[in-house]
Amino acid sequence: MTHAPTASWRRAVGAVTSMFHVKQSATSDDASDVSRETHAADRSAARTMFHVKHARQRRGALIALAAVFALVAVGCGGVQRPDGWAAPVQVGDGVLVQARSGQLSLINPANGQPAWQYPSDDDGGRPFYATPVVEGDSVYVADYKGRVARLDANVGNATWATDLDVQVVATPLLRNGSLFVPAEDGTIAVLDVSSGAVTRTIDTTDRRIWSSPAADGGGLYVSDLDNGITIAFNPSTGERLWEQSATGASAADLVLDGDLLMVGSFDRSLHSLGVEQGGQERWVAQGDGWFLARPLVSGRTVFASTMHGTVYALDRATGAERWTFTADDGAEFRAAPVIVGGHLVVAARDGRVFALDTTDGSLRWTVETAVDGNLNADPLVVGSDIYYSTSKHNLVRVDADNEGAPQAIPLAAAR
Amino acid sequence: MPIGAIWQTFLETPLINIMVGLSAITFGSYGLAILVFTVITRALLFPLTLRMLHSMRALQDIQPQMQEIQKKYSDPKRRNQEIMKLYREAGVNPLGCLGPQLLQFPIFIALYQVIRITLGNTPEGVLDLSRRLYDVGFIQDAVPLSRTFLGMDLGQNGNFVLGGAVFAAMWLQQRISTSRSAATTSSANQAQMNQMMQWMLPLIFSWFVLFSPAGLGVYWFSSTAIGLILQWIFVGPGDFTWGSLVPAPFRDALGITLPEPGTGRGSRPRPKPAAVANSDTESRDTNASSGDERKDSRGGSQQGPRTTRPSSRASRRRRHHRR
Repeated sequence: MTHAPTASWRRAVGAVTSMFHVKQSATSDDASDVSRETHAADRSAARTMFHVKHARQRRGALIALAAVFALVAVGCGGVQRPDGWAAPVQVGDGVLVQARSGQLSLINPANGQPAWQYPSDDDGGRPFYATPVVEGDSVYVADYKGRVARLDANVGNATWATDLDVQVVATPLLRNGSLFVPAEDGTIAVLDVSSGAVTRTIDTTDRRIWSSPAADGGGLYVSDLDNGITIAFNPSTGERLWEQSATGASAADLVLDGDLLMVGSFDRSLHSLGVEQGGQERWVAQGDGWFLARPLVSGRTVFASTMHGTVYALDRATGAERWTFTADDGAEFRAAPVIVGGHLVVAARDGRVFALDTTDGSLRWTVETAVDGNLNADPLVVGSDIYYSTSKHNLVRVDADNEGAPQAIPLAAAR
Repeated sequence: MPIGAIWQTFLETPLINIMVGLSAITFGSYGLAILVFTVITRALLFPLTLRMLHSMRALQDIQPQMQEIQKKYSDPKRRNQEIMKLYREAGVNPLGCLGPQLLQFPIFIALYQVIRITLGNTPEGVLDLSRRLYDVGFIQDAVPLSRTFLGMDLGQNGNFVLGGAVFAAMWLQQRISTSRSAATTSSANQAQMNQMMQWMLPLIFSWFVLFSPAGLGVYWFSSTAIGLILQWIFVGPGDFTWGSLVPAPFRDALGITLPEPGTGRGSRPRPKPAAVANSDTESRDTNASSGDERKDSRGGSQQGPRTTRPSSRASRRRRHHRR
């Protein structure tokens, strides 16, 4: 039985060989029959051409297949997945950080060990762009797909969760027992913090909102991404108080300092609006790139940084430039500047951190955090430690007292 | 320089800036920017397109001679030589049609990436756009771009209306092309291939458009529409009539009559049997001694009357249908 295939193979080879011999002998024995010979030659040539043609077709098909594969590879290679840029926040003694896309972990900053995770099961399709809001024992979170939840800060369980079914990038604002959640469809959902029920929706007419709103006793201030309009609402009724269209499209978190509203804009300007003057523009500071980082007001100075790698120190009252600092090698500032240990600390997306003298902008120290991913998220300051999380969900601590010595915090245990 | 960097530096990044710049010029409408970009691309490719259309027309003009060669020579080598000779004499490059298509291909792929990058399908995409833009004021100020155009979100996948429009436009283009060549195509395989192309190509592209950002669909639809118009103007519709789109049972009821094949604008009349017979005889005379002449399976070489019979099953079917 084991020889059967060999035998059949031999038989097949023999048959082919005998056919060849028959054909050969026929042509040699009947040499006078020229037409038959010619006919046989024609057939042979046609057969050869047939094989050549088929080989060409196969090659063509392979090339076409390779081209289609390359097209799909190139096309799919460029598809970017949302990772989220929620900033780390302090909850008790721990740091709440997006340890992986779509999962928040409350970790011990000393060793990276998690106390709890939310959601407990991994769901990478719902990353967090909105920074969690902490109030007492509660943490309010909103993911990219619009699920808003109130978590127990001690154990990480959701007290309630509400699906808004809209994309959420902006950090919600907590005010007077209501959570204001701006969304990509231009609405602001107002949730009751005790139940999670949506009590009302404020409509800004189809404009994406990426910047966290600001509020005071008189109004709720929102800036939009698409039409470049800053709007003031009555937070209680949702009534529109005023609009300012000179600010340009904005994705930077708004900062309210007294009666001044700072709006960083894509028009390469930082706008200062007087909220008590119906949003009238008080001053505009022209920069060299998009202002996407939340500005920082300290005393009589406003610090703002651009995606073009420049930090500006401006006079709060007039917007006059006091000093500037420009980082080389294509630095982009998206993370908000912070003041730690008397220095202004700014982090570039590529992982470099710069400490500047607040009075003249001179460079005090600089470090490379050398962690995987971009520094898109705002930092968390705890004492002299500054925590940065990256787009690849790594966490690094920069010690401002020790010239920024960086220390990566392993989150592997949390996964 | 790695190939990815070359791709980015010389194609993707310039295209990003062109699209953002066009968007700034077209009142911030990204949809209009895509349309303007399509017109510019087609205008730049126009000399090539024109050559392609002329080549297409010339290819159809020499179809009768091609058929004669197919019938006459059984030796594939000799047949190919004769065909190549015919191409040379007619000044036709059979691959000339591919030029504009091949040139459009990298543009199509790059545009796919550019739409994803410029419209920022993720929030990170908007940040990444910063380093890709040239340091030109009006380009920098144009961001963020408006994603909506004619009620469509240009960054979203799965636009069925656009998929359908692309299918219809491409199907029509294929239909016009195949209706032109059908009149002179004798090979059943060729007819079958044309039929397959008429359906497969639009299906593949509309499928691709469905799974791509709608902006890419806008580009492909407008590009196809422009191609269709150019074809109509420079080559003519051939035997295609709008009436042919009406299903046969309804044509009589609506009083629609189709023109005879070969009478449409841009189409060439069928070769007259006598002329073909003459040429056939002439060729046979010159090649009789070389042994290249096709032996008829029914014995002996066939003379003039052979060319008067329907040349293929497909054309027999068409004739029968017209009766």
